[in-house]
Amino acid sequence: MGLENRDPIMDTFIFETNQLLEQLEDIMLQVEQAGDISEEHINEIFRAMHTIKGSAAMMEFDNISTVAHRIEDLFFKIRENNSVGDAFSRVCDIVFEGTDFIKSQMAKIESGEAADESADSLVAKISELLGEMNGAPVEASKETIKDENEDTGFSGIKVLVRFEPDCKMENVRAFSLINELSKHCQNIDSKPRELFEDPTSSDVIAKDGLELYIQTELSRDKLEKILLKQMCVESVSIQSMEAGEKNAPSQNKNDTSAQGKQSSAPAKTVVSKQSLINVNVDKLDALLDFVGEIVIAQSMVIQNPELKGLNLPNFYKSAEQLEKLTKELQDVAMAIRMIPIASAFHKMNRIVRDMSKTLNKDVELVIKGEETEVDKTIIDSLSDPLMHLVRNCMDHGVETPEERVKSGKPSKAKVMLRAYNNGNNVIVTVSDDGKGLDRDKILRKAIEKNLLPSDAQNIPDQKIYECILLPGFSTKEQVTEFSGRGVGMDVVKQNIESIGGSISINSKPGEGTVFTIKIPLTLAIIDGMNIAVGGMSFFIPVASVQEAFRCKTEDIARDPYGKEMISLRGRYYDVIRLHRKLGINTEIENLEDGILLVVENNENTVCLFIDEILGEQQVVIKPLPKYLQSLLGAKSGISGCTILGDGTIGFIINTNEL
Amino acid sequence: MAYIDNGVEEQSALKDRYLTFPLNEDMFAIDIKYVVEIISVQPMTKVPNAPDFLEGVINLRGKPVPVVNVRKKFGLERAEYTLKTSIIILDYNDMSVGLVVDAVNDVVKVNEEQMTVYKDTDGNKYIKSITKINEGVILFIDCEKLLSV
Repeated sequence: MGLENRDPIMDTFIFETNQLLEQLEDIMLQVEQAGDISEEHINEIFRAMHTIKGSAAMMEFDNISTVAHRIEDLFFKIRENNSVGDAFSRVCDIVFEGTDFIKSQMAKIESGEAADESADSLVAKISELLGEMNGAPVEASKETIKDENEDTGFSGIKVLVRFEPDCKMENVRAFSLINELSKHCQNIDSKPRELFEDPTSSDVIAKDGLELYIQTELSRDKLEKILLKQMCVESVSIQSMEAGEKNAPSQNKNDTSAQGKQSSAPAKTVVSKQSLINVNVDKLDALLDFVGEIVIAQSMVIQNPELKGLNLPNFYKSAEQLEKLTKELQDVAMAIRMIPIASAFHKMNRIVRDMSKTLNKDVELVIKGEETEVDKTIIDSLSDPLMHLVRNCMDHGVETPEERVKSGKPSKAKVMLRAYNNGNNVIVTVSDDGKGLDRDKILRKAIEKNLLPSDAQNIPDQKIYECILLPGFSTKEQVTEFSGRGVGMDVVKQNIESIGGSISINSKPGEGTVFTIKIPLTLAIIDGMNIAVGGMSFFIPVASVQEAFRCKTEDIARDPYGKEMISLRGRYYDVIRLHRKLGINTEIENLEDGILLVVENNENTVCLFIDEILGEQQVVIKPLPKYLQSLLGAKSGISGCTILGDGTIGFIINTNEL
Repeated sequence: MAYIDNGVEEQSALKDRYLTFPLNEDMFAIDIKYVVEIISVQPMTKVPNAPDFLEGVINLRGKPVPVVNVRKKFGLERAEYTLKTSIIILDYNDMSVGLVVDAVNDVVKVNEEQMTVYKDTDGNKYIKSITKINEGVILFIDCEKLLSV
């Protein structure tokens, strides 16, 4: 079903690790804001790093697992000391650096490259910090872990495995056993933990057996079977631990008769899981495609030409019922794809944090309406524009604290992200309370770069502001790490337009700038007005048609250059003849004979002249085939296609591209 | 045609194999690794503002596929559709494109060494090489050039 042929284990690894990284970053931002790490946060970070370490090691990404391991060590130490002390900001920076490193490696893995960047310098940094916190050689940390792994706040099962005496190489047997077990269980921990680094591990296992702490949904019998199947295993004893029980291993150490408890423990972990599932987006796409096919098939049946002229009241009654159900099905399929915009917003926290530090600005990110839901694909293509806009606000909009105090504003600046629903659109605004855009400077630059005519003094401010969205425009004299290269803002406009959205800018000197992005709720299925031009039929989104009317001869005006205008309630609108724009011959040439649609066209309201309106129906938008896209170019007026009731292809017109 | 239907065949089985089709007096060939399937003529939707050689767009099991008339692309007159007229569906560089041809002929096996590289002359820019098999001349189509805009 168009799914990539990646190993599902790899998929899960990527998904989980990315989620953990996001979680980690969120926690760290909270921590940094609070100025202190709570015990709960320490545990969460510790746990996340532990999982990343484990799964990365399983997937044989040693560099990731090493970094995660060292950060885990670091937090272990912090937990032990019960405070971070004066190393707080360094710890934060190191965790961010660590997550960045893992992120960059994950990105490589996702794109199929080798994730083999060396983590040595980062690891050295962490070790150094760890050493300072210990006041002792770094090696000490390993010892503490070995002794203290009882204290992980662990819930699950404790297993004691004994190998046959004289089986030799106990550490290797233990390793392969753990490896086998990891296919069935989550969060495996062992004692001794360092099987290979620690030369005494084999002896310890031979003497005391191998202690395992695992979380699993397997039944006790199955677990036992799996373990006994391993090479050289002599005996297995399984004990459960109560959730949250802190010193469980030591309490249960000699309690080999605790068999009655097992069945309840694994059950608990199942119950505590949320009733959410993760679904591959490709599957959702496939679902929506199928719903689209059903909508098409349905209109093939109901509008079948063979039914014409027949009197079938019962058929149409049932058909109506079917139509209602498919509409509902479609709504549900659509709703599944809708996710809160929060994920896109929260990524900005990090950018604001990093840029505040580098640019020495004091900025607070305010987020409103993060629960607003938008189609997943739209959110994906919204991330980049948001990032560029926030960067722009940070770099160009917001002043330094000194400047702000001078102009009588609070020294802490605000950058605000806001989202809300508005009819069939979602409005996202990015605003700051900085110095605002410099109209004259932008105008000068725009004229200099030939983006505006030199006599453009009187055009509205908005038009001038929008120049900053054009390619190659930057008023910042100095190129910084973040912006000023003149790329970025034009990408914003492009990206937003590619998902059928628009962007506008408003600004007041001294008060700030507001970028307003308008995006459609969903892209896949729209209400289309079916229109005819010269024997061909097309669709126009109903949402873009303001009204339709027939005109009278006296309403038509022509200027000497042949431009046609039509007066409607006292206002004159330009006429665009669709048949001419599309190069189609039609018999209906007189404006009085056809229909005029009032539509938006590049921010002007115009009248679109067509032959007739055939009806209204839901259409499933399919992107134009690539080859056709390149043949037609960007401004063909045709923005997509759809499959009609009779199985042929119909084209969808974008009135803004005419 | 067994090779054609079997899209999952190993790459090696497709190597050096070409689908041939006649056009006027000449025999043309197209690398079979780009050929997805061969279908009969379907109802097409004309595309406004498109170049003359674009015959239209067909619905291939729910997927819109643009169709190019090879005769027009080579600057020849359009021919009436007959029962033999076929559409060769290509998958080239992630683009699905159909080619309307008068008929399809056969699959031939030709090694690279047997071909003579064709020079760009007389505006005949879609041919990349030429060879002779059983007294007949075969002209090999350069897909990239044929489908470049």
